[in-house]
Amino acid sequence: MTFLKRVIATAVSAGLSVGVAAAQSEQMLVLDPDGFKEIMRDSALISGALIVGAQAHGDAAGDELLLRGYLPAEWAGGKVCLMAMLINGFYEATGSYSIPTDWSGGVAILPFPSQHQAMLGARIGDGLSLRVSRAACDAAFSGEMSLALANRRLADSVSVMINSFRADAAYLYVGAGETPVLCEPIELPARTAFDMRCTVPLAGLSGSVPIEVFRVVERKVAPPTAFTLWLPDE
Amino acid sequence: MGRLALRPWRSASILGGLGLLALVVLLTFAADRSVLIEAETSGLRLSFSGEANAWRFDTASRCVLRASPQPRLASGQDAETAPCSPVLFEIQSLTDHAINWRAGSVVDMVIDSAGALSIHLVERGQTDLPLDSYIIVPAAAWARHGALTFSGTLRLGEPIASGSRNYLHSGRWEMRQSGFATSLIRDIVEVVKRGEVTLGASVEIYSGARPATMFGSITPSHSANSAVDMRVTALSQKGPVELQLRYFGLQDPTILRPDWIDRVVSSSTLMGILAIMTFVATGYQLLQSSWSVGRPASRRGKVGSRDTAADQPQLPAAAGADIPVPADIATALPPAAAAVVARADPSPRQPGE
Repeated sequence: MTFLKRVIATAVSAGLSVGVAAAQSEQMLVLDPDGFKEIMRDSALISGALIVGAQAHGDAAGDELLLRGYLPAEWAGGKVCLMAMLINGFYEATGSYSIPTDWSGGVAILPFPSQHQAMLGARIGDGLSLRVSRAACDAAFSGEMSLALANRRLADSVSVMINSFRADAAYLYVGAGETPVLCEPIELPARTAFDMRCTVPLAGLSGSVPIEVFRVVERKVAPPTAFTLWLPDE
Repeated sequence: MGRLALRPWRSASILGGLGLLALVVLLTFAADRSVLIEAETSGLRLSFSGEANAWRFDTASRCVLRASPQPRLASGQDAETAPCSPVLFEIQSLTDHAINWRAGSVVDMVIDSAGALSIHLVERGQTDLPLDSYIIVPAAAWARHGALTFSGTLRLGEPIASGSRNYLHSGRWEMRQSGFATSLIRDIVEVVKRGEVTLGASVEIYSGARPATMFGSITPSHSANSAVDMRVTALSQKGPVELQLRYFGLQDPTILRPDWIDRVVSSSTLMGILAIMTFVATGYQLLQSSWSVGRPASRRGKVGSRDTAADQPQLPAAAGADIPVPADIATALPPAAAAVVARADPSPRQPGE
């Protein structure tokens, strides 16, 4: 399995156009030409985004990193952007992919030919945010995101990673639900790119789910940030 | 024989050097030190220890988080004058109210944009307030508020980031210690290292791997700018304490602690003793040189030369030697000397005497 993944990653990074390949019955998208950009900085990036990830991750054991994303059928024929970012702002990568026109929806492997695979694999968890969004990375944020998966195929909850800009607290509403989810501060040093995690159970959720995030600044409620999260069918 | 005679001097020099080294080590050895820090900040975190952390507020508000906060209902409903959002908190006015922060309680203290002091209970410990409660002291009341004393661990500011409001503005620190031998001579502590902290740094004092207990006070600061922040003055417990500074963009903290050179350079007692020792050693060397110059050059350094008697001409009688004196020499001597010579030159003994 590991060997197969390496072969696939090597083939993609070498620029071979493999089209939609099969890896253990999984489909893999094609990385756009010059669609992968990776920056390892000497100093931290000041991130301006509020929602920096919607993800579920497996174990950080080992140095393997295999990224997948749920891509709804509604996105067929379009582009998708994967953004990965370290919490300290030192690393950021984006990859733009093309979705086949006959895409019927499901989870696909997103090739990620990083030169820092081992480092990223070791940091899977709250320190690494993953955001799969509709439209290419060089386009404006569409406001539509889907579930990103790191080293796993399924998830029973999604972690929405936010940069609260040092808010007192943050609450996340799912759909028309009346009880918000209280976001938790991430207990890691150097929380530069994002600082909170909102854990949303996926039970009973599927398809297009509207999300609202409220920040509490100086004990007052700030205007909300809204986006749409696409989730797989149960 | 001459080389053997120089060995005591060499041994003395080596012993002297070792003694000096031992003195330096003895005077500067100290495992325990304390840190004094003074800073102006608009944000800090306190983890209380002990039971003597009672704070009294003349005028304040208490905001207790509702069991079911509804931020969605807040749109356009938050009164600007309210200390907290009514849809999130139950608000209560306090007058002449005292709070006893119990051990294990953790609070975040910030000066908000309106200049009010906000105290947020982030870990309850044994304190009677519910978790996530706020105590809000209005700006006018905080500007003339009395000191708030504490014992516990302290973090000043937070690593500055986009959107940070509660950061450290300025500060200075000193590391103080009293060496083992120094404390026997002078009952004082010496500042072995000092420095300043710049805007945006986050400061914590550690003792080994754990945050050190600090004893200090928080007062309103009236600095050059119009905002009234917090002035914090705190002294750490004694121990192997060190300062940890975190800055934006750096993953690992900068650690500051005094080293051996800092302790040597800053020890006034050691400097005084070294000055006296230098003076004594110089004087001794001068005396030794002048004594050596006063001796005849022919004898200085001559093998076997030990006393001045050997340098002077001696009469055979004085030496007690039985040396025959030629007659012509004897006649040339003065009478007294000749008599001595005569006594020293007895007649040949006759056989049988």
